[in-house]
Amino acid sequence: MKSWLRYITGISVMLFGFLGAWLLITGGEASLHHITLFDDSLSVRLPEDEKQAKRELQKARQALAKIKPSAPYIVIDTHANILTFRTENSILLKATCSTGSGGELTDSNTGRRWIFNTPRGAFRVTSKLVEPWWRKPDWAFIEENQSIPKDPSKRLDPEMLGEYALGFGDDYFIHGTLYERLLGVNVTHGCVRLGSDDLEKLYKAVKIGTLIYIF
Amino acid sequence: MFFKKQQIVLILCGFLLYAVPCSCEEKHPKAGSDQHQKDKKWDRQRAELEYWLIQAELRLARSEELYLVLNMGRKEFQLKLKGALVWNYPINIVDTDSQELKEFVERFLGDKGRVARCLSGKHLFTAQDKTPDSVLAVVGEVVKVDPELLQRDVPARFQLLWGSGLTLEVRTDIEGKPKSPLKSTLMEFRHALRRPFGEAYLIVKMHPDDAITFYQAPRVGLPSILCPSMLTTD
Repeated sequence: MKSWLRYITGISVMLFGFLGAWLLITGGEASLHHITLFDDSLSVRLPEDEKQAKRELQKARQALAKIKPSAPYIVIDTHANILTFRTENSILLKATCSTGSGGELTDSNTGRRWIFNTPRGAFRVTSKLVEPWWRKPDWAFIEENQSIPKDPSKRLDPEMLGEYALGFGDDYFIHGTLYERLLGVNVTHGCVRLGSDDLEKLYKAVKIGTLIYIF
Repeated sequence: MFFKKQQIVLILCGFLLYAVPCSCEEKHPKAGSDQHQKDKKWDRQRAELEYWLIQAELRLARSEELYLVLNMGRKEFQLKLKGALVWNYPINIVDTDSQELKEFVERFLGDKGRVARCLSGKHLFTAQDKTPDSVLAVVGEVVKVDPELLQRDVPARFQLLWGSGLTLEVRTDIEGKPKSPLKSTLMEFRHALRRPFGEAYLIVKMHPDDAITFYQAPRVGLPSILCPSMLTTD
């Protein structure tokens, strides 16, 4: 082999070796270390004048306090299937619930598709219902291989939702269930199921407008 | 009677004179410390850091995304959404005597102490199935969902990584089955290689129920901020 070829091969092997070792050590994470939260770092500096700085800091503290919920709020943890009614410092109610399965359903006739996830984000309780009736949506019939009824009264089910329901978001509810043994498992079509005792306590404790955080 | 009326009144007045100031002190224990705070010299460095952290949190709270606060003041992990605390758990360090917490905090904050990071990786070493497969087979049939989709891992041991040699290892007291053994071996090897170059490796203990949330909720890219113990923004 010619000497220059030997040099090039040697250097290439060394370079690849270093690169491999570097990737192994860092795991290729080097570019993900920091987040740039502020484009202009000067915008998050306090004014030089002490009085102004104190005023600015106080304003910031107040702004932070404002974004925190001032009344007890509901938190739904879709990962552990736990619902809590809480304040920042105390848990007023903790209950096992069931949230969306993440399953998919496609209507072979029309091609319509549903993904059964519980929505995530911040919501408010928009309605409080006693003895709610479930108006079955189309997917409930498609899932059971039944034809979709034309008579609206055939969509109504008086038992499925339990004794109470709390509405939130786009037609989602926190409601009861006939299958309490399945609580704790991700089995729902997006609503949040609770056991009857916990549901009653929650229904009595919350008001319309109560914040719901789902993650 | 042992006491005359006048004596009883005098005793009662004496008791009131003693009791009222005592109860006021109990009700307002912070009054003295507030005065002390006011008297304290303006600490610009501390104020700047607090201001930066508040602004960072306000910025994160504006988004629809979950974010993590490592609150060293309250000694807890906090997951927040739109400024609301949605999950918290105490930081229970396994080896409390070591310097690892200090190193972790310093490395996380960076040179200027004003760094927000995003989660760069997570790895599950061992876990247990949450629900028996036999149960899920029945449930899956009823709800028309693939049973595998319904299964959740209860982590026994996992790691959260932020890059820059920052690793948080979470351990629970359950026995778990190994998950992706090859990747786990590679991870162990990577830590062994990194250690001489400097690594902040913090090991904490957690209840299995909370470990489910702490493993599953943070996605890679989760914004994370650290609030040092000298500050309490809450």
